[in-house]
Amino acid sequence: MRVKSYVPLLKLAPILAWFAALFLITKDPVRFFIDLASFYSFYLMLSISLNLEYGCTGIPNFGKVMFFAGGAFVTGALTARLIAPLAGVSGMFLAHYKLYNVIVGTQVSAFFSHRVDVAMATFVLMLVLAAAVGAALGWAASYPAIRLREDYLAMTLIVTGELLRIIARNYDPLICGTIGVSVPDPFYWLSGLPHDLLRTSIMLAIAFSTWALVDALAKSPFGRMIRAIRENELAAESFGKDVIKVRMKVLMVGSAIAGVAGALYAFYSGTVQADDFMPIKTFVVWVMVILGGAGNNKGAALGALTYLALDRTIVLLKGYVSAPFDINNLSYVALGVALILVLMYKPEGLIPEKPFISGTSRRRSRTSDQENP
Amino acid sequence: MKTMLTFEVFLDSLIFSNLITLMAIGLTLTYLTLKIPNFAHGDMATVGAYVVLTISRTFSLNPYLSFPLAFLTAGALSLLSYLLVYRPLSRRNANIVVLMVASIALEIIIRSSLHVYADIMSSVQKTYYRGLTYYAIKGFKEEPLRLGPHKVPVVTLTSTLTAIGITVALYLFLTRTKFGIAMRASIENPNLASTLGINVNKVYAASWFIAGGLAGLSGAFLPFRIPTSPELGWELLLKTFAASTLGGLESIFGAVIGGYAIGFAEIMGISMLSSPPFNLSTSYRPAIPIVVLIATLLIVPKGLTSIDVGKLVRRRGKSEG
Amino acid sequence: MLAIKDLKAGYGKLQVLYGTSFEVREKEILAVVGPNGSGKSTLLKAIFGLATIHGGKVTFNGEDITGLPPHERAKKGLAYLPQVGNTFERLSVYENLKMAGYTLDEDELKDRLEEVLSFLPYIVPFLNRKVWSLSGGERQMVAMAMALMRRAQILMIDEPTAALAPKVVSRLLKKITELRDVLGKGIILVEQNAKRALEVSDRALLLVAGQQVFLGSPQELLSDPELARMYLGVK
Repeated sequence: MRVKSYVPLLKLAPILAWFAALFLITKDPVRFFIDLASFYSFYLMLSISLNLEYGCTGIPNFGKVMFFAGGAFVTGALTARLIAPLAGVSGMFLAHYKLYNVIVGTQVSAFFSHRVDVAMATFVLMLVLAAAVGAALGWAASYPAIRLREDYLAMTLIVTGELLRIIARNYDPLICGTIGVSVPDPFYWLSGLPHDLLRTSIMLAIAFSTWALVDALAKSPFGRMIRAIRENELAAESFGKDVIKVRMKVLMVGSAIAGVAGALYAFYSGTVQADDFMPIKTFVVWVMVILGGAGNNKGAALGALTYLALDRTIVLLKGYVSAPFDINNLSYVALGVALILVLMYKPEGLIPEKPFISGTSRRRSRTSDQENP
Repeated sequence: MKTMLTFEVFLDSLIFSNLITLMAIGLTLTYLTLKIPNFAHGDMATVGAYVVLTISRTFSLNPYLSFPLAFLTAGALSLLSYLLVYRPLSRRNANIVVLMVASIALEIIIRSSLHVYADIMSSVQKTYYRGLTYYAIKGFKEEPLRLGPHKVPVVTLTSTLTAIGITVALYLFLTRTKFGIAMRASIENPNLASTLGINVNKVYAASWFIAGGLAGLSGAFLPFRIPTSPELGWELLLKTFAASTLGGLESIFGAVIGGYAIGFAEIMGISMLSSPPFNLSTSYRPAIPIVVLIATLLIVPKGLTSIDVGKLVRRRGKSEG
Repeated sequence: MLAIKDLKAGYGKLQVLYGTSFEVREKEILAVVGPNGSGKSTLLKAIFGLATIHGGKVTFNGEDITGLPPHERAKKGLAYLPQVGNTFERLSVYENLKMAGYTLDEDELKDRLEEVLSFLPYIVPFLNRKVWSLSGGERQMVAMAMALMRRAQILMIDEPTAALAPKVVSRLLKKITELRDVLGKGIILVEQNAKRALEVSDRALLLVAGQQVFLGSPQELLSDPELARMYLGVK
């Protein structure tokens, strides 16, 4: 039994070695590490939320990017405009927000730099709003199809995501349409290395707390119930569990998490643009979960780490290799092939799910599952 | 002026609908065999478009000449995806979600490869390979036909004839030939079919080839109207889903109905919505099929062809949903 | 001639049949009866190759077919008509028959079609109708026709009269006896409706919880008060 708990750590080793190699190659290790850690925080949250939805409950959330976008859009749309009056930004700028949004953003950041209290309060407020918006989107997007089969649900989720993106691109009041909106920096009251370190630490703290939260959820009676539903929906229904309600709840929780990740992303990158949230981002999260191992959070975490390693390698390589085409596309091809190979030959992923039920009861439930004469 | 606009909008809708219908037929075919929506289907169209574009550009040929090759290439690609990915996975008892994930992975592979291809060809031939239409190719000119005061692009005629021709051919194939009937039988009850000696694998493979070919053919028509780029397939896919779902994913006839419904809804819809009193920006056009899809799923998820008109009439009130 | 020797079968690791043995020849009807869940359907599936064999042998016309896949067994002349899924509902009756004769060439197909339709004239008016629009009894006839298209020698029929009206049941059973008398087929007839099945059959097999409890003449089975009462619900 002892040996088993070291296995995931063993699987961690090659990834860590890989990162070490990247550190050596890169020109600015400190910046590289901070960037890595920041991106890991939102990838981890996305990966864990998808694992909760698909790995634990069996919901095919092919619209993950939409909830991520929702949190980012809300942050982009509101932060500057909400605080601008407090910051004394000229009314004219606000009236033509699309044109002047960068100026407004900069002014609000400046305001944040000597009002830490407002800055941090705004930060927290945005995270909460992002979670709420994410959850609301989760409810709205799944409502048409939650009663239908998985393929309809998957289609609905993708399609609603695209709808959101189209609206964001064209409806200027949201995030300034195709230009994108500038997001003020709530950590502007620091600068240089302390600034980056504090921001990244907070992001990681939020991400790891989410992991802990979802872990607790998975071990709770609610967690057992969603696993039961995944294994045998019919049986769970006969016990009186409202499967549809449970699925919706899980989707709302997962979407809330994705929303918070989106808010963090918005603050980190400083701008929010509709085309940053294309379906390929959903695909990338799926790669993380399936590669890492669906059904357990450790797998999701490892998957996120692995993808990050791959991604950063490509970015570094781009600097050294020149080709007549965009290397990103080649990396997507490689990811796609890798995903298919994993699905065919090692569908449990790098860290397979450990059964939660003890040996005997699981065996008994298996044989009764046999085909009916 | 008003009548010209409406007639032109009608023609536009017709061309567009022809393409969507061809794609929807293919999507429904693959859905019938695999029970999942094939996310890579849209990219088969882009493949067809690029085959014709490449040949026309390289050899300065009339695009129509390479249409059969577009059909064959896309068909072959579709067949390969079935043989190498979908069939092995379903043999291993993969569930719906796993198949869908594989489908998305394939989509990413094909689309990204197309991007790489476009980039490489651009630098090799020192010309643009994105945002192309056939008219941008040297030496290709087409005189529009004339119908009274109206100009009718040749592609209206060719695409409509193709769509009708394919639909009729498919109908005859599925009802008059032994292999075609075997296809319907295998789709409905593969166990019974294989007991009777029908090679279900061969039948499924053929249906995937046909589906891909249809998408490729549809894609070949695209550069007549739309600046073509590798991303086109994905946009088309969403509209095709809407069409197939509206018509009913279980019915090829439904694909035809859905195709024309979505095509006309999108073009006539945006034409109406962008004029007074709505004045909606035309960039909302892609939202129309999405809204129709969501509405379909809310109201009649199994599609229009699942509505039993007889039952509706007899039981005024609730309908089977 | 179909010979079953000590057949043990089930689904995967689950065992349902614990060793049955019997023979079926041409021109005879063997009725398989017993309470629900006793393994009657499993028996037919196992003989046809659709269940897991745990032991025993299935011989057809002297050839050991225990390991053959279902469509090979079908080719040799063994037909299986399950309760559901025995026709293509979205195809027309004619198309169904055409599919049943898939492996035949043009002329053979025509001849067999004539033969089958003359035996089952009931379905001639329905040739162009889709099977889903037919009634239960008519569908069973179509299934029967399909089996005959393949020149089956032994037909295994699983509860054909379930959910059918009494008049239709009579007609169907009459047709089944004609299969034996007119066409000389051998038939294994699994039936819930034990009394009627025993009335038309030549031999009877009683299965209880996967065990072979009785093999012999139907009259003997009907007249044994214990067996008849306990397992067949017959007074």
